[in-house]
Amino acid sequence: MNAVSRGYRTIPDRFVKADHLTVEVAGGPSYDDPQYLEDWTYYQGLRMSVALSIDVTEARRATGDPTGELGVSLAWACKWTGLRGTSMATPITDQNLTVSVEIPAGAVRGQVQISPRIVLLRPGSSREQGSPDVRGALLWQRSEPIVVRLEGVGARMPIMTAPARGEPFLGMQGAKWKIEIDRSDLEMPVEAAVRLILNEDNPEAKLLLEEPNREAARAVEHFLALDVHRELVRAALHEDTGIDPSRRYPDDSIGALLRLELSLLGEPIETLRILRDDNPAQLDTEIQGRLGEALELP
Amino acid sequence: MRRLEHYSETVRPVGGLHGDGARRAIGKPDLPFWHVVLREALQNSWDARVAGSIDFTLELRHLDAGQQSALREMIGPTPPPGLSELVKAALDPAPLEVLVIADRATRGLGGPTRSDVLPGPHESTDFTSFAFDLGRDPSRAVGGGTYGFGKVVLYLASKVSTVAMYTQVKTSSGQIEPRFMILSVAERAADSGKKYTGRHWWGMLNPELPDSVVPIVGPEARELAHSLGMHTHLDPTDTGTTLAVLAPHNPFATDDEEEAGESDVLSQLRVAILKWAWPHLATASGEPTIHFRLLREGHDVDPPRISDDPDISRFAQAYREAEAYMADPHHAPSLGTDLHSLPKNVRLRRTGVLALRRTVEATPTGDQEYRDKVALMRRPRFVVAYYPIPADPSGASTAGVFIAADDRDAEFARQEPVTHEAWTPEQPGGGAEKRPVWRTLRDITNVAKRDAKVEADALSTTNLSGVAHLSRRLGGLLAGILGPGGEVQSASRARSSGEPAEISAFSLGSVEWVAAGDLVTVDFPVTVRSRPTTDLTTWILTVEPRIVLEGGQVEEGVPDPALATVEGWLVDHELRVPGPEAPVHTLAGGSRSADLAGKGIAVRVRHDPHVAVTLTIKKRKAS
Repeated sequence: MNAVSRGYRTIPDRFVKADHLTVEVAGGPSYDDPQYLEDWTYYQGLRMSVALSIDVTEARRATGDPTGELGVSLAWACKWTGLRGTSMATPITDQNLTVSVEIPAGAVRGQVQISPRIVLLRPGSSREQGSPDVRGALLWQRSEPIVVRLEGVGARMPIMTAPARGEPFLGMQGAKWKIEIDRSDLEMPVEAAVRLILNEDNPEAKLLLEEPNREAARAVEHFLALDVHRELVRAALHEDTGIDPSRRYPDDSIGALLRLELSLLGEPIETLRILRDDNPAQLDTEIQGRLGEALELP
Repeated sequence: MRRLEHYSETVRPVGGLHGDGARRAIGKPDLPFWHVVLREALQNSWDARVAGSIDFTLELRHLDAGQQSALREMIGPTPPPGLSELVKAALDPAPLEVLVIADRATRGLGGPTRSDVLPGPHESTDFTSFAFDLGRDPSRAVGGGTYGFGKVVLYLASKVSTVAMYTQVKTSSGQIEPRFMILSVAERAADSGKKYTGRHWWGMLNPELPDSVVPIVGPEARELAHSLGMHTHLDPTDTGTTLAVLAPHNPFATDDEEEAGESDVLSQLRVAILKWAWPHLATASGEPTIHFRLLREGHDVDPPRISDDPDISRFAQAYREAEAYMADPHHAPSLGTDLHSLPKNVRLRRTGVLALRRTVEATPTGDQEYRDKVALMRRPRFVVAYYPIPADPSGASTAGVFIAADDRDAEFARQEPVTHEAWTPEQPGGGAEKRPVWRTLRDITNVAKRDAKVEADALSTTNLSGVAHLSRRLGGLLAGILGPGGEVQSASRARSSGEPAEISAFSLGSVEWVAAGDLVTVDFPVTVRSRPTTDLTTWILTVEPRIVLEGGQVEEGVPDPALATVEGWLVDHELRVPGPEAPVHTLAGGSRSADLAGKGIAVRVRHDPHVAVTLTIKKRKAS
């Protein structure tokens, strides 16, 4: 942000340090000084905290009001959603303090900017000329806001969870997951065309979600990945899909993904269809061999 | 009463379209015959509207003795080839039944009365299209009906293949011109060694043009209409058209139906109005765009109303939502309604909007004809067809409406058969963009199916962190596919802007307070960066103060000097260059090339304490 003179004395940058950011994802992990958040969804709120180190005496002196009461707050802004907010101002009582702000779920995406600020809570009794005298007057803010990337272009499998008592697991309560692939428009983004629905009442699916680093969870994830490959190949080979292995589909489209799956199998589509019809077990083995990864357990 | 002159078209040496060919072009419609008649007549009337609404009247009655006598007089005693039934019916002492179809606030059948005459620049060809031409003229705008082959249903609906036509049109001079003619489209016939196409007209012959017939025009035309009771639906100053289908019947009726008679024609037409034209009764304003009137033997019959049928009421609710969504993409749907812009792939051009309205019926009511259907429609706002969609697994009944986008209207119209009762998907090839109808029908099914499978809103939001984690882990399966993951920055954002500029200057950070008085004096820190090879003597920096507004925006233009003024450039707190303009090498202490970063350069500004001020810094090469 360009330097601004507000017509009153403010606090120079040299008296404030605000560099350390902690991000806590609601119901999820915490990150220290993150450039991006690894596991975050739009449906999760965030708590942002910035540690400040302030030379309080010099800061007050710079404002020309040595007895004025100063406060600190944290502002956030998201250009993608056009939303912004600020925490309540906390009185500065110590040289080192942490200020936090809660960002509700659904309010940010793309990237979020965090700006710590020092404001005047109450003017003091002996003020020099040019000292701020309006409560809330902005005395300092970080010249460059801290930026955290929430979304980028990293691949994500579209996943949802559903209880066993409803669709799509009605009558199939024992199912772990369902993979839905919409083949109706091969130019549709993968995000819209593929959906993995986990049965949140199934113990193994629950394990995947709640304790993903356990050995058993890694094994379940391995078989889930194979199942996804199997369904993608099956969708690609389906005659109604109309995949054209020689065509270039949009980069993030289901067509591009299905075409890639076929190309990794290394056989012409006609050969794979014959294999599917005459020897499905062999096709399954091909999928495991060429698309699956070795299961590595700790 | 005047006897009209009769002309029967003979088969030309090179052949041509004949009456039975045109009649067969209709085929046997999938819809009930009277529904086809209603749709064709109504669409043509609507296309001819002169403003936002029209009057449309259906009257089933018998000719009285005077009217029947007038008809006999008009057509004469000698039956044209293949039309003996007509004369027989006219001569029959039993009163002849007619189905009158009348529209008003339409433009009537105007334009030239001969097909070989070119219309004027703003003249329609409605008359010749109706009276003489068969098949669609591609130069005519595509409306709901196009007087192509569809009009042949009117002749099919006549047991004697004959329709009397009376129209009032506005001429180029603004006068109302009545026109009257009787027309037949019957089977081919031969007589006295001549072959006839089956098309016959009663009007006025032109002795100079042996193969032509034109309508009776002017006051005599209105008198002729009066003699058949066809004048009542148009005041002398109105424009519009009244058709009388002589001896109405259903040509596709089974023997049983034939035996049971056609007494219920008007009831069937009433049902057809409600089934296919209800959007014109379901406007947001509540004022119908088509004012329907039904008459039986001169007595009014209750016109159809949306509230007559609970199924239609549900479609009407979905329709209003779809219309609102079309007008305002931010329209919030009411409870139970989902709104979709199709196709779901936003990179493809929009084909239209879909509204799906779900209701749970404790006990299913009415017949199941309308259950889980989407009413397809385009610009004329008649239901083209009820398209079946997958049933909702929760047992809810779905009523949907799809409205084609106005700018795609012609593409959808092209895929309608003669009777406009379906959208036929385009042949494969050319990609999704070139097959909008095919794609739209598939999208409708998929959207309905997807919604029916798992409602996103119904999905659990627990374990979001677990989902996010697994989603990232499995994202590895989607190699090369872009997603929303934050660990990879998009190329456009990550890309460097290339080689650094020769010189750049900006003011960041906090200002240093200098003095206060009537004006305040502050120093703005300025960072100047240059390439090692930059010749600093060629660059000049200029600063201008700018007022910062309440919301943080910066006002355009240099403020009044009384508000803010630049005193000069400082290096290490010493005034080095007075005024807003500074040669860069002067800031660098006379050096042609030096690293200016961290040199302690600042700009001193005096400004009114009641305004907030920032700086803009411009660079230019010295001349």
